This record gives sequence, structure tokens and C-alpha cells, in this order.
Amino acid sequence: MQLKKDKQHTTVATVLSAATCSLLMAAPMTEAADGATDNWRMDAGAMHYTEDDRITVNEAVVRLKRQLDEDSSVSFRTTYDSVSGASPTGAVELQSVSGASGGAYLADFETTRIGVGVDYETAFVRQTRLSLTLDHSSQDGYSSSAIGGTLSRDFNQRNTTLVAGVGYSDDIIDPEGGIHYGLDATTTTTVRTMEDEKDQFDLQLGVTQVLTRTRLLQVNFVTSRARGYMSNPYKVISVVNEVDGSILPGYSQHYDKRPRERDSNALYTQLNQGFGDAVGYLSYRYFWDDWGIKAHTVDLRYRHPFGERLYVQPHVRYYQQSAADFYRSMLTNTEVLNLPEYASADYRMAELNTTTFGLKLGYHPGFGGELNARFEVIRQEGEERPDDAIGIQRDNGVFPELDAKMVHIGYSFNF
Amino acid sequence: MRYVGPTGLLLLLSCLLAGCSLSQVQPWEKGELAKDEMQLTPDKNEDFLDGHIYSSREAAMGGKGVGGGGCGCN
Repeated sequence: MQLKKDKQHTTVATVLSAATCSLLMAAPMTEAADGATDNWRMDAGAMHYTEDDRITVNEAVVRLKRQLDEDSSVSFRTTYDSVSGASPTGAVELQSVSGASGGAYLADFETTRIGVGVDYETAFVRQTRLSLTLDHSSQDGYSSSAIGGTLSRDFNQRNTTLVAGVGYSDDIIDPEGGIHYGLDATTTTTVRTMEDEKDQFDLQLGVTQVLTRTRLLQVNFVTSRARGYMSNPYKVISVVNEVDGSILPGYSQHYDKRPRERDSNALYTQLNQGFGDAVGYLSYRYFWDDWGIKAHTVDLRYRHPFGERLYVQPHVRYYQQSAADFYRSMLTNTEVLNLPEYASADYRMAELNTTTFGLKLGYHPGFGGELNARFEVIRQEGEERPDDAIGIQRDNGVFPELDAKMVHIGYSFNF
Repeated sequence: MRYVGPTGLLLLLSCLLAGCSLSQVQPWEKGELAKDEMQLTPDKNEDFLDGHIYSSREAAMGGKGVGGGGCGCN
């Protein structure tokens, strides 16, 4: 093994800690270059997201981090988001001309959500770090609480970091009007329960490796096990004539029904490559679960500085997923007599792909901190003619295509 | 892409760990890596907000870490 005897020496104190990036969702610990005189850091962001003919989201997030001592920090996070507009219900788009209604294709809704979180990080043994995270969010009809912990350990002169993590979340679903029996006709008034629950357990194993002076690689594997209510209480499936796909009078739509168990895995890898002052970020994620869904995500960003203060960062992301085993674009009138065990017409369970193009601008003003602005366009398309799409519905296409835009403004500063 | 499986993952990890001994970057060479922009997640808010968008429009989730909770995304 040949050790590099590079003649360039930079301040050891400046570089020692930062290179060992951990796989935490919270910030890796870094020492400020000027000697850590700032104990606080604030990151604030506001986002406006809008879909053509569908929903609009306004969201704000603020993080406040306090460096407690050289080795420990605590962060508080708070988020607010407001969603309004129309969302696909899962019903087919072409309703009956005779007046028999298969149910609305889009339904209006409005919801506001508040979230809070705390992160605590500490180095308690040499080259070993512990991080704990707590989250809670709440909106009408849904609340979620989560806890996570990771342990990371550096090796090989801090060129390698191993991370092991555990997470647990517990969600309560209590929609207004209650939860119906899955695959019951929507004309049924019987409510199964006013409240149901879902919990999820996650295990993480990852490694970050410094490959060269300018290249860093992360590989992360997370396996999850979710149990409980995972159907969507607001989504339905239409019943159509098996011959021509039209809505039949006398037939109603049925409530969404998904399994109460979901085991899933995600393998994520990211490469950071420096090009002088510029940095490229390439990541790939493979996701697979026992619902039959397999998904690929590729994300590429390239940050290019202009002078000391400004940078530009174009972004492209491509995502593709296969359909869930129980995805059904519609049910037929004969199937109503012998319903499948599970069925969901939620487009998010369908074969689809999402393409994103974005641009981010960052600026370091004279008064300090970093101002940034991001603009992204998103297009989602999916399988228009799955095998079970019939007649006029098949001709029309079943997938609710999505065009969306997003603007995000952020400001971060140390004080 | 074919199913990677735990064996494939262990192989990948051991290659990385073995490979690191060939390219030991010394502490004084880590100037570039120390920059904020070389962090794995240079902008946590960006990650967080994107996560909300995509988790409410796609079936896949996670991969980067643990913790965080869910939402009744419609």
C-alpha cells in the first residue's frame, strides 16, 4: 500500500471533522472554519407548489440548531403546510351519460398540517457518533409520531464511516366520517371504525467512503416493515360494464382496500464529486416491496459557483415504478359478485414515471448567510391502458397525468 | 434492475472497505471534502420539502435514513 505524500498541508483542525459524513437525516457535525464562534444556525424555507387543475401546496419549514459543545448539538424543526384543491379519487373519468353516477373523478379537499421535530447529536466515544430524532405531525384525520436513532463509527483515518440506524413510527388515521370496510360499496352506510392505526419499523445499514480527495460515495440500505391501516379512506374504484366500460346504473363504486402488511426495502447510493470549486451529486435508489412495487430513482445535480458569492445548480430527477399487485384501474359488474382480496385504483399504486427539471440559485450576501431560490417543473405520466381497462375507459386512458411547478425560497445563517 | 439481495449488498460493502485501503486520503488532504457543499445533504430543507412532494405522488419511500414520520398525503 502506497501512502500518498502530498506536499500540500492545510489546517488540520479545519479538515478533520467534516470529511466524515454520516448517513443521518440530521446535519453531520461540522466545525466552523473560523473556530466555532457561532453557536446557532437557522435554516428557513418556504415553498409554493402548484399542479395544473389539481392541488396547491404552501409549505414553510424552519430549523434552529444549537451547538451545545464541541461534540454535541440539538436542532428544533417546525413545519407548516396547507394543501387545497382537487385530487383524483380513483374513479374513472368517463361517467355515465344517462345520469347514473360512478362517482366524481376529482374531489376537492383542504387540509393544514403542522409538524415538529427534534434532533440530537453527540460524539460520545472517539470517532463514534450517536444521533436521535423525534417527530410529530398532525392534520385533520391523520397524525404521525416517529423516533429514530443512529450510531456511526469512523474507520481508516475517517475515510470510512459505518452507520446503523433504527426507526419507529406510529400513525393514527381518523378521517371525518370514519373508515369503511375495504371494497364495500360506497352506498353502504356502515362504518368499520372511526380510527385506525399504522406502525412502521425501519432498520438502516450504511457506509460512506472517501474515495479520493474530491470524491465521496455513500451506500445506504433501509428495510422497513409496516403493519396496520394502509388503504386510503378517500379513494374509490369504479364499477363498469365489462363489455364497453360504461358506468352501469345500479352499480356503485367501492372503497379502496390494501393489505395491512407491507415489507419494503430501499437501496440508496450517492456519489459526490468535486470539480474544482464545482460539485456534482449523482444518486440512485432502488426500492422494492412485497406489494409488487419496484421503483428506480435517479437524481443528478451540479453546483457551479460564479465568483465568491453566487452559485447555480441545475437538477434533473427521473423516477419510475411498476404497479402494485392489487392495482386495479376499475372493477367490472361481474367482479362485484366475487370481489378480489385487495384492490386500489389510486394512481400512486399504478405504473408511472415522474420527471423533474429544476434550477437552484444560491447567493451569499454581504450581511451573511446564504439565500437560495429553487424552481422546479415536474411531470408525471403513467400507464394509460392497463390490462383491466375496458372499452370507453380504455380509449380515454386511465392515468391522471400531472404537471406541476414548485418554487422554494430559503435562507440559512449562523449566529 | 434485478434484485440485488443481501449477498450483493455485502459484496459491495466489502469491496468498498477493501478498496479504501488503496486510497487512503490523509487528513491534511481533506480540504475539498470539508466544504459545506461536499456534504451528502448540503440543504436539508430542500431534501425535506422534496420528500413531501415525492412521497405523496409516488409509492417508493425512504432510503436515506431512519426517522421522520409520515403524512396523510392525498
